[in-house]
Amino acid sequence: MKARLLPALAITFVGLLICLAPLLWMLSTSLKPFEEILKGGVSLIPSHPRVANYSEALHQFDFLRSFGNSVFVAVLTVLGTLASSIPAGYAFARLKARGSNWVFIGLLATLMLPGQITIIPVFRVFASLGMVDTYAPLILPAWLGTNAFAIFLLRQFFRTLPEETMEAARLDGASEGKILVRIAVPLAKPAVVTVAVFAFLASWNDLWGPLVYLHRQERMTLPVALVDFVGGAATVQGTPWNLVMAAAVVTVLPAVILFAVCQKSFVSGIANTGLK
Amino acid sequence: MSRAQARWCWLMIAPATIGLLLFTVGPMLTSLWLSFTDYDVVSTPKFVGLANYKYLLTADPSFWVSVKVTALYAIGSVPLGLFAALMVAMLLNLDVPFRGAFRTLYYLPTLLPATVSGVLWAWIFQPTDGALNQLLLKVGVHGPAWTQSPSWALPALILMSMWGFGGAMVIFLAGLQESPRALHEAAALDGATQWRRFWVVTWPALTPTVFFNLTMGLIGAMKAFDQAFAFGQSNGAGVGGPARSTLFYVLNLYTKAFEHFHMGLASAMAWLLFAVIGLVTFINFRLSKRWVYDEATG
Amino acid sequence: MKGRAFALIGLIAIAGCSHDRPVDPLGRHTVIWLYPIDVGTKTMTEKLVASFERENPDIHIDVRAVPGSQYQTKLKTLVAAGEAPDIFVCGDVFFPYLRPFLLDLTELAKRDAKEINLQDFYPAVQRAMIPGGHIYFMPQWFNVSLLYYNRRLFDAAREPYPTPDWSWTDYAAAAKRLTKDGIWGSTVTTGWWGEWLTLVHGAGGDLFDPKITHATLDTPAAVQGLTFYRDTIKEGFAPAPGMGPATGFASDKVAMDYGGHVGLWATYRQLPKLDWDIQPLPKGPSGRRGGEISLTALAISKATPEKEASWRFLKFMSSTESIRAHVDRGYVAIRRSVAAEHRDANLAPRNRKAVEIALDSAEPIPSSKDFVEIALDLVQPEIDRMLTENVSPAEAAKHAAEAADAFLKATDGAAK
Repeated sequence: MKARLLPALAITFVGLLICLAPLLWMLSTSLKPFEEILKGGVSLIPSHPRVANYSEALHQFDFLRSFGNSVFVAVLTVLGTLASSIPAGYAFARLKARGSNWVFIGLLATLMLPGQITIIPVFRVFASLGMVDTYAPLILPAWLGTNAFAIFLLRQFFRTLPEETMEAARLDGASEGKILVRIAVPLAKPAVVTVAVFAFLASWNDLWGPLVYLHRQERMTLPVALVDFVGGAATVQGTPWNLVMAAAVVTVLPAVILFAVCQKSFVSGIANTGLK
Repeated sequence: MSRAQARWCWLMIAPATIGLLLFTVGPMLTSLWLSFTDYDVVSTPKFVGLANYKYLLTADPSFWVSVKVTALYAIGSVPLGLFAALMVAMLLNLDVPFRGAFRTLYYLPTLLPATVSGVLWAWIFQPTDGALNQLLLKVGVHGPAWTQSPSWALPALILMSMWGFGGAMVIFLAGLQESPRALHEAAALDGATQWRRFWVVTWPALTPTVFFNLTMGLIGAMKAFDQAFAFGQSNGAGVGGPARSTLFYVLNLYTKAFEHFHMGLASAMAWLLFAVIGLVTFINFRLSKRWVYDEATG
Repeated sequence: MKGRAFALIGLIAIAGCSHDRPVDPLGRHTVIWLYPIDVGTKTMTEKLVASFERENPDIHIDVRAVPGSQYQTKLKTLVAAGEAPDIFVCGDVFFPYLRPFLLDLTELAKRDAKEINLQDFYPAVQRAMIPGGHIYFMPQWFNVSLLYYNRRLFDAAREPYPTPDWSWTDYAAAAKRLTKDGIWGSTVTTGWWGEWLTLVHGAGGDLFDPKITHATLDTPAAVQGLTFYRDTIKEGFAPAPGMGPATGFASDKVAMDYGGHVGLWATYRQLPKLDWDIQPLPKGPSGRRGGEISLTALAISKATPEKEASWRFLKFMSSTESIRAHVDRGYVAIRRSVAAEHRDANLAPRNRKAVEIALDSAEPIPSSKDFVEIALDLVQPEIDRMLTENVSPAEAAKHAAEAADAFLKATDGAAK
């Protein structure tokens, strides 16, 4: 390693420590006994690490069930996003049809839309269908291509594929559908992974949707459960921050693991399509 | 070929088209209509013309406050975040060892839902027991009442938002790595200083990325909700923090719509927001012609 | 392959959509109760429901738990979607909003008058139960504003305890003397109207005129109340918001709490070191104490198909058996007969007479469906600014009153 890079490395490392300090603090708080929290102080190492915090937190507000709910919603959402965005992305990239451009522009415009502008009428529709307090409002839209970002990302990617390959397949008599499934998708792995990860994160971290549509405690997803936990878990001596942080760590864990596993594909996916 | 292609095209974009009509176009039109009514969900909407807009723009004390809060937040957090992202990206671009690991770790905070960071930072900023004030106390400084203080609650949120610069950083890094190496080397050989090299070679190639990050950042800041909501829940002050100091626009909208059921007012707020986002994005695009380097036109 | 996938999704989607009234496998009447989760009352509630179902084997209570902070929103949303639960919590504050959806219980109450024994409730509770001559809910417990004081801190400072004859001056003077060596004389309650409105009342003012046509916060009396509120911080005997002990009165570092909440009694009792008692609030310059009374009660939805079953559950939840359970959990008894049993006599607070005095002078909350929104969203921010940014009480009152008036005007004529 070149010596002149030493200062750069040092700065980067220090910067990382500062950046990750809150996360380390979160982890460390989650392992502290309540008395230590009450005493205050900023030591990163807990005096008596207490793993029981985790089981306590998980039981107090039905966290395991919320975790399961979040998984259920997230998986179905990701499947739906892929099912509707991949064909759409391919079509916008490589196929022409009258009026299809308008749909594309419309989808791009939705990126600018705050979700809140449509929530009220959409809520009325779901309410009249009796779907309030169910997961339908959270999952159904994903199956109908509402993730414009995903469609956009995939379109950019599909545009980079060489036309000759498609032409050759067409001349062989393959239909567009076959081309999509047999040729385009297998080539699109990094982009698909990126889209899947983004979609998973968006669903996993979504607060707005569950907040508006879900009522019963048993149906809550993690972000809402966490916020409620903080709001309602105050005890005699104040908020049990150690339990709250334990709950927060659990909330974050799947995202971290997922990212660690997929990061290479994920980053190359972003880099290749997010720019132009 | 065209006819078969066209049919396949429509088939493939059918779900997205249905979704667009069902969940975007239709509701947008409905919400536009609702914005001219008084609607509390339990009774039928009552047409009131421009009364909602009038109330918001002239008589509602929370409206302009939330505009100000959101604007301050956008102006405060977006440039800071982009700056941090660019600096770190440039550092990493210098071929430091473990670059991949660094990149992943810096990106970590963006994986957190805004609710978790809201809760975490509310804890760190807690006036009496939080880590920040405790640290300050160690060097003899009495920190302000952060989350309970009207003057400090918003800066606290802005500081918190900077934490998520990892997303922009990854994109900058990718942009930097595309930067033509040949040009760099030629410039170095010509004796150009680091600074000049950055300005003449790196920056122009970077401008499309900066533009993308700036646009997404501004739009995101204007739509911000989760973090303000979680922040507020964790510190027990009223909605929007002490004296409305963290009453983000969308938080205000949510409160009006789902706590007090003034659906007409909330729809009017939503449309005003849409108009502003559209305007800001449009201006952004126009201005970009001045400073964004386009390979085709130079 | 695609077809099977779609079918699977369809099934899952339907599974997530269960929405008709649940059919009880044992053929019992099912009553849906929307219940705000409170970690502290979970056990008591479960026991009561179990007890009721044993005594009434033909009824099943379907308890649907909702996080407390979301309760009102969720309730309104369900009502709006036409899916109101059969039974829900209807405290005073939200009653004006929910009134159109409530079943009028007056006839049922008359029919079962002996069982309910209305006279067993405190007179102030009875008054609060019958707004406009009709009964719409049955209460389980109540909160009344009280002055909480820490006996240990008073003893340490050799201060005489508060008495029922205290005035604001007595209160302020004692609080000032008690503020030293890291101890605060009192604490300021922000975030809801529990203290400032009480002080406004004590000075002889009010938030609205009796007909609720305009705000009266900018009258001299009301401003006097707000000034006193602000002065608790300015004169130094209460900490500024956020600067005091995070747990307030429970921290054992605060000598008094103005207003408080009966729901915290159970919390305080868990702290063995905390030696506390109560008195009615001191009298303001107008002679009024100004405290509020609010009931926690259950009401029945107008649209319920299970009127009789729901009514039976309501009667049970306000019965002596249930009130006893509430007392054991730490609430104050709402029935005089149960209070006379002195079940919790050996627990703090000792001075139960204070509750009766407080009840006599307690004032109900304005019965306007916009009260909560105005108090929290329009007035509270001005109060925050008054407390932290040196805005004068008169100015804060003026802005708050203007905002409230504009709001009333804008929502005038809306379906009430």
